[in-house]
Amino acid sequence: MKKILLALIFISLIVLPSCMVIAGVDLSRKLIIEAIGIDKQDGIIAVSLQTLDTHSAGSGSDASSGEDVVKIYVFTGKSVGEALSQVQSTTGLMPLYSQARVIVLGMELAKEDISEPLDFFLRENNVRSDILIAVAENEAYKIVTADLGSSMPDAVIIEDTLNYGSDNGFTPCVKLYNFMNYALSKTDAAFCPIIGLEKSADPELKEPKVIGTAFFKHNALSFTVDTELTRGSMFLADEIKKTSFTVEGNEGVYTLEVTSSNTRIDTDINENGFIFKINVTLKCDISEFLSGDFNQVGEKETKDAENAGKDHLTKLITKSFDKIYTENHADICRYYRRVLLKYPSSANTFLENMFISGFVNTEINVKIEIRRAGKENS
Amino acid sequence: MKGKGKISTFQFFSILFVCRMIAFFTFIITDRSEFSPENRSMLFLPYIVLGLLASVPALIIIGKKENGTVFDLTNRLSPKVTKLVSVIFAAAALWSAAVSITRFDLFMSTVMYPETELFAFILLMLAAAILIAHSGLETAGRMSVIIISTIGVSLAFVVITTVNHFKYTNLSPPLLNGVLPLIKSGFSSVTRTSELAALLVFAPKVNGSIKKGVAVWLLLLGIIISALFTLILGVTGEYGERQMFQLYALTVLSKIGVIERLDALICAIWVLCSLTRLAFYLYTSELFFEGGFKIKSRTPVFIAFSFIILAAYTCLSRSVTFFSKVLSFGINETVFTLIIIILPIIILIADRIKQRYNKSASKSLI
Repeated sequence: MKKILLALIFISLIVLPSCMVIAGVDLSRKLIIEAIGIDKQDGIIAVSLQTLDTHSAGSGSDASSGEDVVKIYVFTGKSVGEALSQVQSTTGLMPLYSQARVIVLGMELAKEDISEPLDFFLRENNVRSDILIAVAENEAYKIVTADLGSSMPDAVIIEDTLNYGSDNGFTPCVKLYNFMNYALSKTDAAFCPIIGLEKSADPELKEPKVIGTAFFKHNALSFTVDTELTRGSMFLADEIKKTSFTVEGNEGVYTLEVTSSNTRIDTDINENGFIFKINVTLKCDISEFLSGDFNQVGEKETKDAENAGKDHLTKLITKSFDKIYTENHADICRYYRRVLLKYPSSANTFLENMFISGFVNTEINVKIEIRRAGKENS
Repeated sequence: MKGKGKISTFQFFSILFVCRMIAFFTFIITDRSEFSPENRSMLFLPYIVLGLLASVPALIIIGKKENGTVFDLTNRLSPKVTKLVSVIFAAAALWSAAVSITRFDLFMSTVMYPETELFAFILLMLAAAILIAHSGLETAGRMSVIIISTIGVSLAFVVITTVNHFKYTNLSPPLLNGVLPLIKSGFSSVTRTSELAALLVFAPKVNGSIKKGVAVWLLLLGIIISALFTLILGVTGEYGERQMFQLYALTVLSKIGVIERLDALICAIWVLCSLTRLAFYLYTSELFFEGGFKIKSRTPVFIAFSFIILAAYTCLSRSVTFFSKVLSFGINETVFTLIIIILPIIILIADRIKQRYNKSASKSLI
């Protein structure tokens, strides 16, 4: 009898919270938030929410299209918290942040200050740490409320666009915890993709598109770079997983598929100050070789591709480095933290001179290893 | 837990391991200076050393008589001392149980089921804890071995799936502010290992070498806690530092392929860990109480103690801020120092004096 009772209690302990019986909070009483857009206009914060209508979603075939399932709400207030506090009184539903996929910050808001709008998400325990962050080309509202014409919720399309760009080396795919790690540091520059909308083949519909990267200093958007420099900066920040690029060598034109990339930054010190060696090591396949005559890729061509790729990337990374460090004084390689970890006693001196002379002795080395001709199945 | 038989050292330390790990899982950092980031990776050193040092008085006491208890010594002193010691240790165990269940409630109501009243769930847990306590030490031992395996698998999964997000630059240079903060962090961490007090009363129920068990247990705990702290810091960095439940913040990132959001499953394992800890402390408090007072049946004691735990939990779980404020007065540290270090040392000294006095008295009689 005792064993049966114990077994019953065990089962209840595990099953009850999962069923939400104790809390009495039904899923249909929750507002499932998929995407959050934050704008600021005349000192007022506007939070746009792309939500799932749980009633429509579960009410049969009529509600199968994304348009029917998705509902848009806009709340305003002096802060994000104040705006979102109206969710329950307006909708009668409890906001559920744990399903949110992306936070989009309006361009104007990003330029002003991101610390206040993001503070809510840092403290709200139900916001997942791996939610994506992006800056809207214009207003976040337009991105969150855009009709992307898919049967899936639009937030999924935005998330996929960001993830696809990241997987293919076109854009950084920045998650909340990573973004905040940089933003919370007094010395690092945070960065995230800029997302815009472009017309799709259907004139009534739009498509999300990543158009560059936004860099933040002291909690405000400081400068942006285009997609080309984004790639260079992603090599610097070791954010590249896979990508491809085309280069012209002596023997022809090569398309190189990067199958793995690793950026290691070595920190050293000598009488001239600190020396940073940025070593980018890539493993590539040659997916296309345009020589005008279907020539085979031999040792000579492989070497040629390696050299051409190396030159191309060294130039690109140097250009990105100049834009980010020399021109804008933004530390995305975490130079200060590297010095702090290796030479703690010299860290403060370095910090004072970081953007005067500290980063000057930086060496960029690219090493490419061609694995084979032909593209690996992905 | 009727003492039908003994359990092995492995089973006993499995229970203690589960108890300590859930304290770590639901741990809330109230004071950042207490566990400053630069000391996390080296925390195992002071933790193991201080833990071993703290366990010495308890090990001496149980070694006085082969696998004896603290009451073997206090009975020699006086029945009043036995009763006093019994009440203090039982109260300390009840306090640990209340703190443990409060942590669990705050974790569940903050992260898993926000704005949810968990009182009914806690009542159910207490009922289950009473039943486990009645089912015997062997049951708890076997249960803990199974839970340890699931904890191992879940932690391994979390580590494997998050280690690729580890960034060396998220770490802080070790010993940046000297050795003293590291020792303080080690002490703070050791004071959360109040399970050491259980040695004073459980020794007769355990087969095998307790000394070896304590050493291995502390070594493993030190290494695992330090490694997890380092992983949390390396992956979540400054963001993790601002999260109330840091290990949970890491767990959320754990995913593999299409299998995502496993944090709910991992939290289910934590429910079982909390239950084990609650049952263990309930039983420990009863054993301490039984050492000083004659009781006919354990059931009323278990029920009465459950009500005390429930009352303390109701007061403590008002809010995270209130709970943090209560703990900020150093109650845990005081309780630990009192029951693991001061009281056992006083008992040992008193016993020594009493024995000398008895010897000299018997000599003078001769």
